[in-house]
Amino acid sequence: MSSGHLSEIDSSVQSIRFLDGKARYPVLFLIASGVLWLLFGSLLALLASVKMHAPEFLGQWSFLTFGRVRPLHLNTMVYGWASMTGAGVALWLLSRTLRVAIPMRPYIIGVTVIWNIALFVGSIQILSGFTRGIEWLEFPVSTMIVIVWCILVIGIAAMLMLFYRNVKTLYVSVWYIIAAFLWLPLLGGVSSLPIFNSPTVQAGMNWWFAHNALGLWFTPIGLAAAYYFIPKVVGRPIYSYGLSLLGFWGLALFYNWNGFHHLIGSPLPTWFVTISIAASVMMIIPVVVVAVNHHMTVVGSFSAVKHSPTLRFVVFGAMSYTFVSLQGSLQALRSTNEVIHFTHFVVAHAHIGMYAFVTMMLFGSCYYILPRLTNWEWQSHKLIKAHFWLSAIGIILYTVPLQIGGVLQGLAMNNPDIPFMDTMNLTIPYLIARSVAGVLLTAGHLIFAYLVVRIVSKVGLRPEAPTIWKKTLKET
Amino acid sequence: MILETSINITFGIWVLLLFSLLILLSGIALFIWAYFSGQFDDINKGAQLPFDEEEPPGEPTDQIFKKDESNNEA
Amino acid sequence: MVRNWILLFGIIAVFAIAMVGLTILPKLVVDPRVEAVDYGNTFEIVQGHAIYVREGCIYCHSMQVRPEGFGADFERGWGRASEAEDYRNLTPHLLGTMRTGPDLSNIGSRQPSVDWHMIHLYQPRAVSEGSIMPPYPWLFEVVNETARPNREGLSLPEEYRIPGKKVIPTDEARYLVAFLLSLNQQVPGMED
Repeated sequence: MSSGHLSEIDSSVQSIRFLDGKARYPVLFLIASGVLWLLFGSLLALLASVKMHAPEFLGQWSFLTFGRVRPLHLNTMVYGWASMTGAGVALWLLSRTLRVAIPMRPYIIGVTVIWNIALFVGSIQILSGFTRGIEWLEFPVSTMIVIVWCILVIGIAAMLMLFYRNVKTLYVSVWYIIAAFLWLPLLGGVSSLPIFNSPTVQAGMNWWFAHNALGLWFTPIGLAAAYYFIPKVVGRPIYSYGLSLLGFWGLALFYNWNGFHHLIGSPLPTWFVTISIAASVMMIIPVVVVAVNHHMTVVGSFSAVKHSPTLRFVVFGAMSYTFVSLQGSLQALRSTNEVIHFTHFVVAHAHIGMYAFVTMMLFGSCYYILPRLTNWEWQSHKLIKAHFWLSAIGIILYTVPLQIGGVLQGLAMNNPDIPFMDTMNLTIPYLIARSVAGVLLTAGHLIFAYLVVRIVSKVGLRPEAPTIWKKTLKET
Repeated sequence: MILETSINITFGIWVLLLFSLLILLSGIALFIWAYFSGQFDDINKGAQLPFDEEEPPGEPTDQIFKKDESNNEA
Repeated sequence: MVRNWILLFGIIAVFAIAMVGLTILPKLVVDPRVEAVDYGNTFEIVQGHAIYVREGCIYCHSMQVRPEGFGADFERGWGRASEAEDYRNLTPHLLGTMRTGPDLSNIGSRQPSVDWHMIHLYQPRAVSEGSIMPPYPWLFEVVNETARPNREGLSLPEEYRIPGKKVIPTDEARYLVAFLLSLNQQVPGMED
């Protein structure tokens, strides 16, 4: 390892400990808010899941009907948990990789307060039936604009860091994060425009937005985290930096065009759908590039997974990204889509993307970031391990049966000899399995929230030799 | 068919062709700029960025579960 | 500095190109097709659409029929393939992505009975054995048998009846059913 490269960093730069100290309050607040919405979203998820096989459960109250609980679950998880924690993780990663303290710290904290209020108001709006009624965009436009504005302000902080950085070369994580902070406000702004208010056109805008929210906001943040934490934990630079840039531009070029594969067989003009199918298949290139790069970095140091909670979650997330993206490319093909469209298979697929990839990546990032922000050690190894296994087993138990059920449901639906009621009845066992998985996942989230509360409030004894600061302590 | 009545299809094809040609040319121009301004000279340089003197490459971080180093199994 | 701006330009450019391709172009192509259609949306239908949206029916019911030969939508009697002109020009759109329940593009012609829809909304399992659709009791009023002599209660099966009471639909239930009955794609499509 040539130290010449290390000396590229400006000598006026503060140490990473100093940067972490500056990042403490804004990032902690974003992550803590995210965890709060994670718990609320898990509760809604359990409610919605149980209602799928027990329709009379809490059926008397209009504000707890399935058609309101389910969209609120999605919105709190997406714009609450994943966006808030993701923004916090992204800011911290920028601070580390650009060697500059997070600017506008009071503004970021203020904006996070407003963001929380907007989510709270939006939750009441959806539960009371005041919804925009578009999947992934259920918050009324006025509420959504506030949330997008909050992310825009945080994005301005990110741009300032880019322009006032203390390193010459941009690390690949920075490319992804800068792109994410540009793309999400654009997406949110365009999707709120009233020009798309005619039914069929709105469906196109709907799925262009929904797929891009995952592909151009959560995916870049998740990959940025993987590109930072895998080399950092393993202690080895990324296998091929050139490949990682190819992966970035591949994602930027192809992911933008993917949305219409949700509309195969719909009344929208077929040639738009065909473009999306082609782009979905092209996504194989950036996905394989990222997979090869991550795999070649970890390989040989795989035992590090045993010792590092961060690496466990991040490697699980990275593997899920490869899996879910390749699955997505196959799902976009007309012949497979004919079977799995309109079934629970897609729901399970979305959860592999948002949970097994994005959420696991964020958990892993939190396990690395929080001790460094709070200067405190995680209080229980056993609970971290329990959280990992509950999440990992939970999401597998969620997705595998539900995808099997989804395929059976789709095959039955495409066989006109089977009465429609039977296509629904055959999914019931799989829906019950999902509820069981949901309990496991929620238990994992409760453990995680407990650990976060403990470390943020610095409860408990500080370990005699904190593992993360071992080296620094030895020196002092 | 509906399509002809709503937009002129030959005109549309020309617009799309020119549009995609423009994108293609700007992409090539950017690549040439990137090549001659030295963006690809030391492509793997960026890979060192997560590391510094405090946490140099070759030294794993976040080894919380390592038995011999941690005495805080709760 | 130049490199920063080129990076930002590239990131926004790839986004903008796809945005034009997947949102603006479809608008230019599809909008002229729906402008000329008279949908005959009455007050009841517009209100019913809003209630359909409010209760989140879309999360279990799609409203798009796939073309013949692609899936079994046609064979199931759900009608011909949907076209842009079929939608009642009410937003939000209700195309949907889930068929926990059947497609509703043609429910108005498949099940034209107002009484069936009313009972089904009040208690789905009263007319549809084994259904997992949630009940919507807040669209109905439960009143004493003698009250409102000019309003007849729903003819519920024995097990769902409440002794001495009758169930009468509210205006919201009437609007929702009016919207459901308006869903009818039996008219030939523009491309037929």
